[in-house]
Amino acid sequence: MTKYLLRRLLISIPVLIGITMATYLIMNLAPGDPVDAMLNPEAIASLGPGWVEQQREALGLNDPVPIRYLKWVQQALEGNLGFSYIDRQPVLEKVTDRLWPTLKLMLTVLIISLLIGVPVGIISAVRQYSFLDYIVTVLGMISVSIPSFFLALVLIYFFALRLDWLPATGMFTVGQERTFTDSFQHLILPATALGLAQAAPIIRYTRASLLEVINQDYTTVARAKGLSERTVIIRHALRNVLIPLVTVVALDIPRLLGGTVVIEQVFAWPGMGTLAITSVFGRDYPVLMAINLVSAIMILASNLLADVVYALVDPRVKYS
Amino acid sequence: MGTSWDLERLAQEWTARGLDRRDLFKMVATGGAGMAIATLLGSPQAGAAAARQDATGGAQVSMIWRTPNTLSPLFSTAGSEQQVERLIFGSLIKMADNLDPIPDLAESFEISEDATVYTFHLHQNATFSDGTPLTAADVVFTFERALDPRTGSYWRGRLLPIKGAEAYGEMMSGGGGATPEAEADAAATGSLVEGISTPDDYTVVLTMEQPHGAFLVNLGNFSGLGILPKHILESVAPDQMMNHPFSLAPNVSAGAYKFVTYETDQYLEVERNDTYWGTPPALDRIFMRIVQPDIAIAELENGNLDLMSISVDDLEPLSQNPNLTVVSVPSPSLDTISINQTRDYLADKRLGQAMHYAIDRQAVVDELLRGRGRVINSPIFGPDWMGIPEGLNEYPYDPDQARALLTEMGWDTNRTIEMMYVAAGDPTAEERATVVQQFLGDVGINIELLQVEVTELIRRLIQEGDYDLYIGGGGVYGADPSISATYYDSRNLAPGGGNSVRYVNPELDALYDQGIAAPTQEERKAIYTQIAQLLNEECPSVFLWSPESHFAFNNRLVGFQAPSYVDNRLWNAETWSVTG
Repeated sequence: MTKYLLRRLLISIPVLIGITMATYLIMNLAPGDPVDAMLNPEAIASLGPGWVEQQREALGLNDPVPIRYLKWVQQALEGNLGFSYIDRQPVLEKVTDRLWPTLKLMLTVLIISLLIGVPVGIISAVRQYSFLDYIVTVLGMISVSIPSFFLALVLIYFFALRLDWLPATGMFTVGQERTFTDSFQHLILPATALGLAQAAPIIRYTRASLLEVINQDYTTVARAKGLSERTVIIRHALRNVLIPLVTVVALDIPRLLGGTVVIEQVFAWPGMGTLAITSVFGRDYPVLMAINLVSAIMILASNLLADVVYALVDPRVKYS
Repeated sequence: MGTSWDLERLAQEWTARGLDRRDLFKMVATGGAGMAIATLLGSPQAGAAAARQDATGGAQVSMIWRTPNTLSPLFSTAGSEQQVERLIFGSLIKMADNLDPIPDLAESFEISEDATVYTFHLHQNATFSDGTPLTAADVVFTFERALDPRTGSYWRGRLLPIKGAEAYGEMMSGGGGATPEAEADAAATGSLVEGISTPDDYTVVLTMEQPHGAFLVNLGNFSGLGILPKHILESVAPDQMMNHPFSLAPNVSAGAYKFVTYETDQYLEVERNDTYWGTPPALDRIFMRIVQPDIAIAELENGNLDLMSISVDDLEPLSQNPNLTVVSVPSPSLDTISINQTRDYLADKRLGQAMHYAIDRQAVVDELLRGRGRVINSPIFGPDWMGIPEGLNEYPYDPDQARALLTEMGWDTNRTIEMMYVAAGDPTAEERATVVQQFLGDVGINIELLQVEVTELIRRLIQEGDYDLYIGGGGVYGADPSISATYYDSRNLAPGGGNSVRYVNPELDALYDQGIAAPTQEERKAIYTQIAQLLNEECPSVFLWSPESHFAFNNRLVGFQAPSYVDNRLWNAETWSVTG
């Protein structure tokens, strides 16, 4: 197992290098550079000639892209992710500041989607082809199909504006003391908007794999032993459902990360997604690279985690 | 024209012009989202405007804002930042709602008759929030830093008309700092810059290289240059000022409000500055909140936001809300179509004239802007003393005249040219571009629309000049007629300046020089009328219309006076208060 982990970690290194290289190149293909993004047509007249060239030189934008990439790698290996082109703040600080809000949101979404997805999936499998099953299937389809930003607006409209139960945006109330209740209230709407969409595939996978397992011989044996249906499902069937479920949840993390970008924008959530959007428009290469790096590490880690948990829940799986 | 750009007509247009599926998808996506938001958020509120409880007590106001890049007056290029900086720091002069320069930190100012010497008298009780008095030395410090090329401030360009400013810049950046002679001179005058002097602690005298009738506009636009605390920042090297923590947390300042906190991507909080020289503000604090515009409208209706600028489409729904007041005021900005003068097939004045005739501008103002705008025929249309210049061709809607001009110049009706536009941040941009495309197509100018984002626009429009046409809006043309020099004086050619149409006309340049040098408003008016007539004839751009600025604010906010320039909305925030 240890050997396997080590090997996986070693494989991650070339993968990371590949990812950073690809993102660096693609990023530089976008029209315009950070200096263009800094200018606004009204300010440019008062800058005077030479300003633009001076800025470009100062930011090192006159080097060819491969050279700039290598410089970035060299610095990154030394633990220096550089300075933001937009506000000249250290990138590491900027990204770590946003990491926690994003993780907080993602974690809550994960919990919500599991809390909804697994029980609903079980019920709809156990009562296959019942009225309830159809309702769940249809609702699941709907929640997958509705774009999360739209759902977010619907939620804001009803719960924040009409009913005035929950705050519409932000991570805490402006000008008030930070309390747990306050930050929890702010978390509910964004986490629900994303959680509902994330729950749908979990429902479907739970249902599908449970149905498969229910028809296996060992389930029939368990029933034949005279165990209650409840025990059969929870003790015998559900444990086997966990295996595909772990994969689904882990492989869904990239989608979840992507979903937070949109949701953070709508809810003015100060996380990495919001930072990513500003950085894209500002062509803030150092910040974008750091965000890419963090996202790539998160995704590689979640895949690795899936494999490890896989081995833990399924004794048949042996890595060597 | 009637309501000719309804959805059905647009749909036909799309099919007829063979837009590809990606475009259609993009439009449906944006349109769909817009419609959904409008349906959701546009309906009147069920009286949810509950009174806000302020945990810390006291009166507060919340406004919408954009994520700032910096809070240093030296480095802000966005009006949204500058207006807040003016409130925090105070500047010599500020712009009133009608863009007149009025005193701020300077209690009064005088201009010599030949418009060469500008004298500012500072408030003698102006004090920084840490108790240190603000004196002429702080003003000199701020101006010197702005002029030092190593700082990289965009204010340098605006202050260059000051005598000796160029020489100072060269001395500091090229020759390794101040020479002994300059130091000795500075000891006597108070500044290393020849044209800046301080006869006493509360007087600053700025001498121009040559007469400059519009220098106050340079100094006041868009919100004035905030005066920095010398005793805090003196030890910071010029090239380190941008990176310095003070740039994002300016905790010592002399304005009416002082910086409290900036929560990344959430809000900026400022509170009343007790050391402020003037009447203490009635508000305890102001929150500048970073919220998506669509959500912001809902928050405004809900009573969680007090003030925002709105688009023309939101005027009607918001005016239904009894808790809100909606106002529209004429703006100094101008919508234009830039015509790339470096392309030989475009650099014929008859093309620009034909385009003026081809577009029914009044109809577009009536329909698209709901009548909230004026058709404009030159880039000079304000301020009050200037007014609309006389003797301009009004270019009434006349497609036949347009076709005749095109035939005369030999325009190839099989040619298709590109027109760039930016959709983000302006809900009417897409419609505006489509409508203009339609009008121009009718007379034989085939337009392919090209939606670009701002960075790409700057690259193509300013840096590389790689475009045919660009339709866009903005600017503060109405603040002073000299502002149009930014866009048409050949010494401001892009990429070094804002003349992105790359129009070159020595006669015009000479007129701009005369306009700046003329000391009285009557003389200036005569010269700028000539300039307007010249540009109206030469048409390096199509001058379309000047849209109005729209604001919506909660009735509890007292004292807000809508400014013509949207980013000047805090111009009198010192005197605001709230009821209830």
